[in-house]
Amino acid sequence: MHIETAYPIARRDAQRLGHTQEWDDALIKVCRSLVADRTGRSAPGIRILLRHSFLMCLAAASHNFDRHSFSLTAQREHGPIFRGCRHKRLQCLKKSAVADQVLEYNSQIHGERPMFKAMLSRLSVAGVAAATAFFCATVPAAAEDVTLEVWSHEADELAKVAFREQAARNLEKEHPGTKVKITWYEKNPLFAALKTALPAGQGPDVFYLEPDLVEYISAGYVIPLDDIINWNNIEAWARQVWTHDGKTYGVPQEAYTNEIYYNKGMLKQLGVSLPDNGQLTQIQFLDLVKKAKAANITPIAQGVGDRPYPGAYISAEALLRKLGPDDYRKLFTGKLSFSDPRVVDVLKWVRELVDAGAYPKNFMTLKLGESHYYFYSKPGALMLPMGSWYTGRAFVPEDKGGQPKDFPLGIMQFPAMDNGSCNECKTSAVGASFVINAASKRKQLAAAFLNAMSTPEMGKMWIETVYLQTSIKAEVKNFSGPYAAYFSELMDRQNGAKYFIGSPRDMTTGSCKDTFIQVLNSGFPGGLLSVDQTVQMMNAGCFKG
Amino acid sequence: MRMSSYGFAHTSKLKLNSGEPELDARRIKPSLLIAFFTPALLFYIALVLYPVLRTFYNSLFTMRPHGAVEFVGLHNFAALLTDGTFWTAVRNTAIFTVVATVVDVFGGLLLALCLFVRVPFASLLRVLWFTPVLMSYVVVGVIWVWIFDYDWGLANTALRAIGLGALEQSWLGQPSTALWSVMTAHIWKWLGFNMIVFLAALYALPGEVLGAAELDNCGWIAKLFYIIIPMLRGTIVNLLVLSFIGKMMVFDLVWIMTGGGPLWSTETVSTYVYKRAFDWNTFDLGYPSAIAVLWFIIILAFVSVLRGLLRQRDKLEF
Repeated sequence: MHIETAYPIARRDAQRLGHTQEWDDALIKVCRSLVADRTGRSAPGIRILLRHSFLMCLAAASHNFDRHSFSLTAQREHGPIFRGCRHKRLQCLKKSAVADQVLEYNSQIHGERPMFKAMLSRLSVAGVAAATAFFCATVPAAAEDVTLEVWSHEADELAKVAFREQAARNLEKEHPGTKVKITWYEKNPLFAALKTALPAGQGPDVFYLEPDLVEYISAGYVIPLDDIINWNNIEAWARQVWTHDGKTYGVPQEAYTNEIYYNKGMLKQLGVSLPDNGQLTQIQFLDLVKKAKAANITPIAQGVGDRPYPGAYISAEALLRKLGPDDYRKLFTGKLSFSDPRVVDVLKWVRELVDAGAYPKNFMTLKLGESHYYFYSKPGALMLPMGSWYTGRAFVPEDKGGQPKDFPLGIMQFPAMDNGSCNECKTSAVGASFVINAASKRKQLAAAFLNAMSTPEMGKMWIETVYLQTSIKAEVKNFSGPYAAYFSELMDRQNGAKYFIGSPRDMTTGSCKDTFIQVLNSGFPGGLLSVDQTVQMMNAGCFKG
Repeated sequence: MRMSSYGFAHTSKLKLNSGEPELDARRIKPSLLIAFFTPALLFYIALVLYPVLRTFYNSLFTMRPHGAVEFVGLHNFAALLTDGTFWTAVRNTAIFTVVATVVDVFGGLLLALCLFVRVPFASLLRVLWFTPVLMSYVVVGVIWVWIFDYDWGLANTALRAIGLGALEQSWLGQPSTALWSVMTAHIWKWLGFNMIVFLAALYALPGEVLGAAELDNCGWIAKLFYIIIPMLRGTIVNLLVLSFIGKMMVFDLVWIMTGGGPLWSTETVSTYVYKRAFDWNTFDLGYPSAIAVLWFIIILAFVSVLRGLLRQRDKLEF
């Protein structure tokens, strides 16, 4: 092999390892010697030696080097050093320590070669000293070769997967040597995994969490983020959701509002038109349900087969508008009785809807994803009350369960309650958020990842690809693309809204939450309970007197 | 050689060739015994014994915030006495266990008898009846959720097809039918297992006894009740106990099909333990551990009573 061929290979290796000029010079000198002394060796053999390591160059410079017998011995003793060594920064430290042993081995086995040994000694001392000094100096940089573990929900929402993976790649670019590994889960398996890993002092560095899961904060498994996150990029109201006792524990990402999605074509077919503000009255809404049922159209495609909240959308939003935000919060935090006449009025109206056939017969077993399909495909329904994260399942290709391209989607407000305290009120909540594991050894890097997901550019990407509101401050004045009309209508529906931040499952815990799930979410809208039974059971589970 | 009570020759010494010392299997070296025994023992300790002991330990504590634990003694057990959801779960589990165990075991015996007398297509039926045993609970749960679906499920479609549309309902959506629907799916899955065990036991029955009964002009019903079932008593008891234990701990199918609803009508002790451990906005494992410990003691007690009641008091002679 000519030096012109050997030198670029060696130099490439040297540059890859971040070598200094001294290292470079030492490597070149050994390579020259190698080529000069070992003219009998085959070219591929020399190339392999040059590729592997500087140490191999040193070893091979010994006159009686026998690649097979030496390398077998060496591999037994220092195997990893010779295999793929150039990618292992820490191993390179060993190189310098082993180099002396290698030379010693060669001199003992193969006898002294004074002229060559002298030259080699000079080179090895200089080279090894330079290498050791260099690698010791670069060890902190080598330590950046770390993996940040992230556990996330929403494995089946492709846009959100792409969003978080993009943030991961952005972080890896800014921090060379860092790898972000995101493990994707569905929600219940994720929380089951966290509840076993975290008490054992393990788990990922960063994980998905939702604001109602306050036990992670009270148990001390997540750290406050006030000083390590750039809060200028996060909406203040969203940050407030994650603030407990003056400290903020989570970075909110997803924000949503509760809406009623409806089929414009079916509404027209029933001869009903919405007012300009998109909000019907109690009576109008009940009439609409009855008309739909009479026309053999399922009025509300809702199911509680695999979620603890969809069945309560109508009841909860009605209660919010009837009671106003303060009493609404008191109701679900046990400070207001369900026997309150206003609450009973709302429950009676909901019961009328149920008796009119508002919900499908398979309400109890219909899953969330299936309810989407039920609404916009087969068999089709008039309305689907849902968080505005409806888009995550609907705005995907039809063969992946998305709505048909020409589906006449509309958005209406939840109906206004008679004598309602706040008919302009609207539930807004923070959904997907991320927190840092208190046991993480890479907290600063974890914070960098959270910041990487929360830049204005990423906020814009979220809105334009996920088609969902976000807690990140993002300026998106003009919507474009196939769903521009949807987003414009969604923003229209926010006009004049007074937001109540939080949903019943954010406010309820323990026995009250379990009762809410079984009664208000499932049993009552499923027609299994009367109003009196509902009041009695909700008070038993929630009202603290 | 000595003859066992089963009539099999039994050797404890293996003679190789003449002149060579006899090898006694009981004289194995202790070190070799330990070497073979230790891996399995380690697995058992790590995956079975330690979790059980740890659960007992946890039941006496309450986990407080920031990793602190507080010894509460029997407080968790006392709280169970006034936990309405727990007692609802106990009731549901008891109904499920008793009914499903009896149907499973004696239904399996019936199927095995059908195959034993070689009904037409016996080979095919054996495969069909055993196939559900090979399916996972997830697959079985999803299949039966579809079968019980109100709009397009097989159950209601069949009822409509035979003019019984008035009987169609939301099988998993009504408290009165949900538990029985889950039970149906569970029985469907395990019937084949009991069938195969009984079939093996039937083929192992001494033919001369059955032949002698026929010579004595014994009819099939009498043969079944006076000869076959008494001879299968051991198998029946074992399957009853196994089935009982399995159904007392039922979790997977309930979780997949109903999640314990509607209105706690399918809540079992196992699903309630899971909810208290993972869904209750707390990291406290003390209370769910107490439920698990109490249930363990109850199962142990019932199994002991069951074995005592069903044990064979007199020796069979034939």
